Amino acid sequence: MKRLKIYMLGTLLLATFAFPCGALAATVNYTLRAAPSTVAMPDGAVVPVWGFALVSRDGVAGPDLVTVPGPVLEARAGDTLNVTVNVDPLLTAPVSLLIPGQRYTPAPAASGGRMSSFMAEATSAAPVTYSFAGLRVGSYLYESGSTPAVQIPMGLYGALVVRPADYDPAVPATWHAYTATTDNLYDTEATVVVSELDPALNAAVSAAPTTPYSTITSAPKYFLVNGRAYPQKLGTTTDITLYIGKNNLLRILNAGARSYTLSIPATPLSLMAADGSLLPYRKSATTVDLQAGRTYDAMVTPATISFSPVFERRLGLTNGQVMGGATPAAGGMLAFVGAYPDGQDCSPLKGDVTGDGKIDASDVLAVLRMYMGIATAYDGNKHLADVSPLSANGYPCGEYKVLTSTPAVPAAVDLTDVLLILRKAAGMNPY
Amino acid sequence: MKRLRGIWLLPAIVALLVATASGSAQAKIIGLGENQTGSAKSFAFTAKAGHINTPDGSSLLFWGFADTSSGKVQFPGPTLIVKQGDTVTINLTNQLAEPVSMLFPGMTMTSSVKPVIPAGDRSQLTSLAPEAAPGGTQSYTFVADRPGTFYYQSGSNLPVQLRMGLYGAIIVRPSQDGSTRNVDISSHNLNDPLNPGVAATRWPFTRFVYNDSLADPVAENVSTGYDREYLFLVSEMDPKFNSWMEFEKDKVARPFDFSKWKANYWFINGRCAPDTMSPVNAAYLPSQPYNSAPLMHPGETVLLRFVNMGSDPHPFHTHGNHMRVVGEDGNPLSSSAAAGADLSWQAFTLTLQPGKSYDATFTWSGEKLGWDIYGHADALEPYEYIPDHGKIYTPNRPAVAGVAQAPAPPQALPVLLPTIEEGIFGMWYSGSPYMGSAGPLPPGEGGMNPFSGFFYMWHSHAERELTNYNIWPGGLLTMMGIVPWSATISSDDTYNQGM
Repeated sequence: MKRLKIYMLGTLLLATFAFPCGALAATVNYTLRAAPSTVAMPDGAVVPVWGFALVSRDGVAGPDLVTVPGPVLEARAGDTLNVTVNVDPLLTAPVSLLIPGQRYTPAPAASGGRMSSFMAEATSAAPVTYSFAGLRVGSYLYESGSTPAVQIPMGLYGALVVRPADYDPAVPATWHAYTATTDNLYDTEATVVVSELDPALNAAVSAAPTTPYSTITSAPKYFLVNGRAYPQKLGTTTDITLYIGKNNLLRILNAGARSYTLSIPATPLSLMAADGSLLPYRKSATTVDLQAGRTYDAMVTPATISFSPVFERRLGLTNGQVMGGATPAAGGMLAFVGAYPDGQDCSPLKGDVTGDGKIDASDVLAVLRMYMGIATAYDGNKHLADVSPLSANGYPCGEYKVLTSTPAVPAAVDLTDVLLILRKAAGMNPY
Repeated sequence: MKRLRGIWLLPAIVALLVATASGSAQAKIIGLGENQTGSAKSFAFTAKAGHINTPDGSSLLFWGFADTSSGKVQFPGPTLIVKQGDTVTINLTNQLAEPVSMLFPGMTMTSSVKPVIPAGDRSQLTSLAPEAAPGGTQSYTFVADRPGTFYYQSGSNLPVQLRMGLYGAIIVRPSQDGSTRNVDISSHNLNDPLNPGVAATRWPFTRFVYNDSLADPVAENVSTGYDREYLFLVSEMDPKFNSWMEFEKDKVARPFDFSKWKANYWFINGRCAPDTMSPVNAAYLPSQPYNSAPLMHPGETVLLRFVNMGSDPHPFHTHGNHMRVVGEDGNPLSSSAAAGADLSWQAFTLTLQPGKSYDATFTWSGEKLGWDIYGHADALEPYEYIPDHGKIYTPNRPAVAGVAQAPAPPQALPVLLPTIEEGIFGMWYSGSPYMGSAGPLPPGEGGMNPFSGFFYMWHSHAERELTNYNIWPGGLLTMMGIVPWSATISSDDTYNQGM
């Protein structure tokens, strides 16, 4: 598995499909299933959603799990993308699909004398295949075209990544964002979809899927990055990993109904494209105003090791939108960006080898056993115990390194690691 | 209403008394740092609570930063003014009851940027950057390696601390400052005061937003040079939230729902209009030392440094002329390092997004209005638009039977001026529609425009933001004054940050 394909996780993790090498424009066939599900928020709220699940791509079965956002669809410029939407029998509302910025023929559907959809609608009895010929390169959102004011907030959206026609996942020299020029070459890429959840809307629409719902009083309570609200994670130790001296391509998409501004204090972005179109010049931004429906592509090349936030500057930073507890809890549209040497993990959250979300005595014990060569149930997490040596600016980079071009450097758990993690568990915060 | 009117007038009178004191034409933004020598600059801040006043008589709890040496907490926090290449250290002392930290977006930090995540437990995150615990201290160091307009803000408990006011502006002056770059202004046909009747060809600038192109002369649309600068740090508050913070005894039982947070006060540099036009350091605004009362002479270029520290976007509108946006987030709008601001663009309304900064230049000379702004036909004024000099409009007033037609004034605007008994006078009306001329006014009218300049309202174009808790006018509003060259724009800090 190449480490360079960083899909941001969890829900967006995509099975890597084999692309035919050097092929000309092809036809890419996706089958998605639209179905009801629920998502859990950090404060314990369980919110009903409708989402897309990846049934198959080109006949290869996908995980078929409903996620919000839906699976990342991938294709190449010039391809014809066919997306067949199957509607789960549990979802009684008709659903459709469109991709702003790609070519398609609108086919408005009416219901009760009023337009109900921009596109022909799929139902559990009758799937519909939506076809997008001659795909344009870039980052796009796909979303429901049926009563979008409620179906998009319900969760029926996701990202489409269209890479240049000559893209070959096995040949890094073809990894271009838009044009086959050196400044478009990237080493890593990640897709960041922001959105929000209004539990009242979702509960009402979920309870009465075909009853018109008024969004006049809609008040989102949760603000999401790839479907997660802080402190939910997008990765094991780091939400978005960037490598120093590398060209890290971030595809940033706003699937929400609100406009957000994302602030990245320590790692300014170089915006290179908006809405799937290259900008004439790169624009450096510390804060990005991300209008509803907008997509941006940004190249980031960090210079120093850091672990720093990206957060929503319009203050979508609470879960439940309520402030009142004695201890303020961070929440919402917040994630941590790690800038590390190539192939390394320098997250200050390293040391949690037991994976319980905190560094405590159980981690110290496990690391001690690793050091002594006694088997533990967590030996698969040895790389998380390898925190020493610390970087010059105090990050736990360790020796462990995964690179495609050179042999991986194995995790080395030594006494310094044990002592550092012991001090971390004791609250002395050595890194 | 009577009281509101009094509030409008009083500070203006004070202001004008002070403003008439002459001084050099050196414009400046008030802040800390310019009196420090060397490239290592150090500041001591204290985070603490205070109260701000609004023009409708309200008082709101806020949290802010104080310059520790004065101990006076202020809204917004002190503006830091440093030079490109300076190493800047801020030593923060926290007198609030919860952790406070500081973020310096876009700055090259040399101190740690690590968030505070006790025991590696994300759910226990207290700060996005190293924090000062209650009663504690923390220090931050960055290298101001890029010129431009920046800001600092709290990195802790952001939904509360940003709404409470923990932020301020940072200005980094370019290394090019002090050198001279000429801009070619020959196409503007502005009278050269040293060579009357001949169009001035060059305008020399010695102060810049960014390091410009090396061309001589620098093209106007590429130049970031300016004569005077003004800061517009905009933000907003919902007084219900500040009241809840101050008076709610059981915040757990009665939490605040942020989905209901809705701003009702809007600020420029920490003040709502009309206090924006009150003097700097006004005694009746003890926690709001900065004002916003820009002044300029015809033909000059002023720099508008915008920072939005609120959480709502604010569409800022300049009347009178377009502004040219030359920078964003401390980056010149430049296609390459040596090109100057060649990607600059013109706007009459610039939407200031939360957490973003913008630099824009603004100039006004009366060019191409089609009439002589001075209303005279004798000597040309400095930088007067030559083709319009002496252009006299003859009013075509319809004859009314039985009414004696008043003779047309020797020079007139292309409008019919009401007679004095028909008129309602704005406080900025000098009695004459001409730059530098005053005219008779009824007793008690006018008085805010002794130099007979042109005053334009500059404001948020989200019109609801022109109120103070529903009372119009107020909010995110100030007046831009263009005054004749005969009026000295003073550097006296007690009136104007730029005078």
